[in-house]
Amino acid sequence: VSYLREGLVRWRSGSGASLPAIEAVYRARGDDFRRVAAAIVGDRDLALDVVQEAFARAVRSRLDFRAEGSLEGWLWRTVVRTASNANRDRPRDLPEAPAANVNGSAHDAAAQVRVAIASLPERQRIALFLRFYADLDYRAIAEALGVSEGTVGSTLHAARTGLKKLLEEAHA
Amino acid sequence: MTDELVDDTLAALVPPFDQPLDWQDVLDRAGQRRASGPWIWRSLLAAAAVAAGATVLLVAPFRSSNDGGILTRALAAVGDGPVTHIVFEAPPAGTVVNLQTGARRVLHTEREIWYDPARGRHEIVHFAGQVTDEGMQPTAKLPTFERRLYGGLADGYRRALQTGTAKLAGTGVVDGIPVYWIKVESRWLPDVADHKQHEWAEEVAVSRDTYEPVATQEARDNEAPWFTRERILRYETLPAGQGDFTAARSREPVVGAAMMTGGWQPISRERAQQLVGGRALWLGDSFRGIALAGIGRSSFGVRPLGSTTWNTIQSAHFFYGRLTQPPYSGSRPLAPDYGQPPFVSVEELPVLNLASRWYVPPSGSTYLVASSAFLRNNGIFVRIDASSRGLALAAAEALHELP
Repeated sequence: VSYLREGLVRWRSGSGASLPAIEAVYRARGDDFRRVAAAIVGDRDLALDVVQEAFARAVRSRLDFRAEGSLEGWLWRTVVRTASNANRDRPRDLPEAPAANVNGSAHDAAAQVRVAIASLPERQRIALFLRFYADLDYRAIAEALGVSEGTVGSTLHAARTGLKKLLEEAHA
Repeated sequence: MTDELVDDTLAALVPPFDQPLDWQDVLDRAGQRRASGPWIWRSLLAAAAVAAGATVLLVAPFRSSNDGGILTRALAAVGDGPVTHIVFEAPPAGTVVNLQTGARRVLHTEREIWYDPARGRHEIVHFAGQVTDEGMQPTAKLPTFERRLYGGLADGYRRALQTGTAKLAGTGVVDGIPVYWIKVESRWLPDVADHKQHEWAEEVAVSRDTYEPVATQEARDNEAPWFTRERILRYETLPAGQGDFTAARSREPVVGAAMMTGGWQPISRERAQQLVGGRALWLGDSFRGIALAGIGRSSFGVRPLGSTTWNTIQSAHFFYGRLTQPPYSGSRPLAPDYGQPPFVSVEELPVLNLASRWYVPPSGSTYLVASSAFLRNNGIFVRIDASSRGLALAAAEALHELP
């Protein structure tokens, strides 16, 4: 009982996260973490490494978790940050640009979208990935990115608008 | 059309994974061993105990017949009022060391609980003389398991003594106080680490002199790790209507949240000075034979309590030891190697305290936690991480202004 008591105190005072709680999130959302990481780093194998490394960091620093936000939000932040750092520091495998005179095949259109997504500012791109691959709501995305919910809304709107504009320019 | 195309492309870009998850790999990378992680078995045992329902408490089937009246005297020492007031002291959190005299003072977290089945639970957490957390919840708003938890915590010991299910477990000494250990509850539960049944018991130590409770601990197979022990600084029962069940007091807010947003990036000595307003501290070009490997900066997002706005601040970071290539290949610059002792990392921030529980030690002293030292010096917050506790303390003593 005293360990639950201790856990409650830790949870209430924001002075740490328990290992089982981190493991529970890992098992429940592991595939989502990997898909978002893969979208950020553009490499499925590296994404797996990123998620494992991010959770290892979370385990090591779990006593630093402060419960102003959710544990899952904190873990998303850790994964996103680890993936962004990994992505920033490696040669990026950007999708190839479509030929200039494509004429509308589905394959070419998809390639254009891939290029357009890669061209978005990092925050917009990650917000889009968190929304699409992990189905996070605005509040959860806000926690993951360390921004307000209002910023998430405008960021996602800007991402969609930006994509549309980029695709229209590609077709112009 | 565009939205559908975007969604289809995103779906095709990263299909779901079919590889299994590997939690053990996470633990290995983190340097954790599943079997030895106390939270695993502690939490599972505790959760299982709660899930078992009301029978969790008081399952010891008999009262020792040859306790010499110890249990009777222990019951008399706790009184019979319905309101319980307990002050627990957690195991040591860290040590404050006076850098001039070497005097040491161990800091603990203290948890004060007022519990009344009629009014609820008022809990106050103190650290280093400050209230760091406080909560007041009426009984009706306490979750069922928490109601059981705090109810058991507050009067389970007394009920075990009253009903005769408590039994004498042995004698010992707690902080110089000769005690009797009383097994309040025990239960056989499986441990996921070895899949065997173990006896898990909650024990209370009472003074051999006054018979008042002085400590609790949890024992597995009659072995109680030191970190399970909590000192009871105060235990009293009060008549109905008494006790502190007032609303939480207002207190000075601490930083709401902070997180690192960018890792090590090499910077010049001049830039380091700028980041901390010209007040940078360092250990010279080398310290105890460990060369200054580099100067860098890290970025932190800081959100004040109650605010939704994040501000970014940067630290000046002096690393003595060795730089190494970070895990990911590419153009990433060499960064501190924390896995290669000896090393000393000195990180400085003008406005953010990176210490555990935001604690700032008095001027001229440092707060030691494991092999890290925290202090405020020259108007800036300093965090030192070293390959040993002694090295961290020596570095705290040797810090001086960067010329």
